Amino acid sequence: MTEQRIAIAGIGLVGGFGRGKQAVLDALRSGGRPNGTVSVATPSGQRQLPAYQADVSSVNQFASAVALRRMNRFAKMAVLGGAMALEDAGWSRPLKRSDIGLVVASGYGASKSTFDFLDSMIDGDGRFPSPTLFSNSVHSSAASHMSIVLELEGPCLTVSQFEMSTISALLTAQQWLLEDQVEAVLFGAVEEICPVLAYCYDRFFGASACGPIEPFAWDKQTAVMGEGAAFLLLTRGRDDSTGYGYIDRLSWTQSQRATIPTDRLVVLGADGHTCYGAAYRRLSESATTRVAYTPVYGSMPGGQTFDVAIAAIAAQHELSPRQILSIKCDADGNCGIIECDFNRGSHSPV
Amino acid sequence: MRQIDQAVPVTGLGCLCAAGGSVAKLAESLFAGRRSIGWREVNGSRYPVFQLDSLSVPPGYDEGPECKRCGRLAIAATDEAMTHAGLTGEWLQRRRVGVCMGTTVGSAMNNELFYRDFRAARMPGVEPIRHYLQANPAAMVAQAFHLTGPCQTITNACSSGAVAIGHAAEWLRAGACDVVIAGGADMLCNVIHAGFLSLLITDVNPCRPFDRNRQGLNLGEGAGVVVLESRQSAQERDAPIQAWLRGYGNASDAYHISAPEPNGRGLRRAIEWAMAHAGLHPQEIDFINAHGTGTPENDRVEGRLFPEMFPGAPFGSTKGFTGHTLGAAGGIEAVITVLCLQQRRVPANIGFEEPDPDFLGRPVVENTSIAGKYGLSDSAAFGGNNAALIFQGQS
Repeated sequence: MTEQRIAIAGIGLVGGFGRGKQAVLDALRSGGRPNGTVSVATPSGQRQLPAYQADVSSVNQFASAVALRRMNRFAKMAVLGGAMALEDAGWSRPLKRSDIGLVVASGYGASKSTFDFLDSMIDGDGRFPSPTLFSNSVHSSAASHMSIVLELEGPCLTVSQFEMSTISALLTAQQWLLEDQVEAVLFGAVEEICPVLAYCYDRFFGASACGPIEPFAWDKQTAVMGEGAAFLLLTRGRDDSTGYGYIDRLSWTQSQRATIPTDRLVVLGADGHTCYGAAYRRLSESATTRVAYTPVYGSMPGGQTFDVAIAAIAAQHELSPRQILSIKCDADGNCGIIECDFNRGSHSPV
Repeated sequence: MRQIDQAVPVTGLGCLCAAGGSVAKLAESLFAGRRSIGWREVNGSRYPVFQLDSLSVPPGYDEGPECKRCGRLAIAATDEAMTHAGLTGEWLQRRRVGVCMGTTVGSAMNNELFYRDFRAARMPGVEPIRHYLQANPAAMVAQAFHLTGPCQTITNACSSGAVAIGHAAEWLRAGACDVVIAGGADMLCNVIHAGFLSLLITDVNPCRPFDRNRQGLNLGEGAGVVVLESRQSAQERDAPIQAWLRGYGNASDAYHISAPEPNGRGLRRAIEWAMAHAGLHPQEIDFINAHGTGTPENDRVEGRLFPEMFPGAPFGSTKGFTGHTLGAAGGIEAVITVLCLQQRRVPANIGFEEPDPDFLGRPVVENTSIAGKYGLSDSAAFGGNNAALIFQGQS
């Protein structure tokens, strides 16, 4: 457990709910729902699966046509989320800064480009695979595009740890700030839906892949694919740049050993997958109040970053308590806990 | 960037690659100038590859699912490193032990057979997906050794192994762990090979790092792991200290998705930050284990930068022995850097014959004695990420 606090100075969000804080607030008030479908081939014909899909068309506000020319959708989501977080914190470009770190967490990475590259291999009988697709299929491609577009020349990290991606990456971001290695860290998670993911949902979950997500129905498979990007601009918060408040404490533990304080709102990352249901059930038993935001953004491994961002926005607008505990569990019994205090937020409401 | 006055003890080393299935065998090959090159046919052409010999292949490597190979390599190197460090299962269960592992192939879902069936609407079974979900290299190491600390698979492309070691040290300084298993692992894979061929940066001959006529890289496979330990933990158990991790720097080019910034701006910054962390002056660096892939662009950046930043310091690449092992490279080269400090010598840059007039200096052409105090190892990655590690020897 590491206990030194870091501040959230800006938030950028894009996902099935739309983009930006107002879209999140609207989704919170309406309860959230999938905004699209993905077609998947099944033995009995084509099937439409519901999905939370992100619209990245507004990324051109932040990146030139030249920069966007070779950028895949995965990277566009990341650039959009990251640029919005910087804008939200009032950091105008060009940055050209080496004192801002960049951390990107993703469970599945740029899987669509990985399969597109395979297409180019197979179509050309192995002779003419696309170098552009290959470059963009690498997990770190989103961070690379972000560093180029947002002119971030500082340390950079891409983490791929499935459900534990956010907590493990956040441990590093926190340390960069506490050791004064950087002035700020642009931290985020990005996930993308691709046809293979939809196929897997259909094969693994069958009729249950249609949701709707019921986060507290522990034994019922209700996950619905989600994609998007959630970014936080993190600082040490030694001045008035605290924005939304603080991340107080990070903990990587086993869900069996975790203890949950009763004085905080528990934000569960439960996203309708039964494989984590028992862990979430146990952890939520001792919680006085609990909530899950997954029906707002969908099921995805990097969802914990969305949870923290949405909780911060909700607290700012007095839709939820200001002291929260975000929990994400994985199928191996691990559990990531992020303790936040949004009391000191001085950010203006939307 | 300020000095961070907490050097981190390195208490164990583990490695397997084409140059040797253990740290001892690797050392033997390096200083005997012996390299073992295999060949792989891709699209009708033969390419040199640096693959593990049959005696070095970990259990289950060939028989099990391909996507788990990176994890198996990481486990094998971790096993050696833990034994070297004198860590036992019982002791480990009572400590907070983290895993920080770099990879490139190990996190990608690129099962070609599955995908061919999928796109042909042959409704493939999802067993390959199940295997992929169980193949995260850091998680595989944690499960194999029953470790319950933080776990992180770093996917910074070819700097991943070095970055993993740097961040592992940060976890120790933060007090999040007592011990961290850190390094990198990557395997040979047809899809990745095709990717590098598409970029036109592979050599059809054995690679020639820093040579005037270099044509590109050769791919390799393997894993390199170090055991990093908090000072308190190392002192309490009177651990054998192999070296100290003194400095780490990580910086971005912010320039291009696949080409390095021609002046080495990001690499220079990463090295300067590592030097600042360590509180060292350039003249104190005894040698540099270069990234030295053998590609024209990478070697041009390093061949100009090192003689300028560290005048007179011997530098060389060991990729002529190991091939480019991608996410494992930083881990394997960290092990080699510590070995060099311990043996007070650096191996000849194998493959180099003709100096490049474009460079300000040339790599070491024979095994070269060094003082064995400080060694620097750098890594550069696709997309412009750069990392530098500085180790201090025990001499």
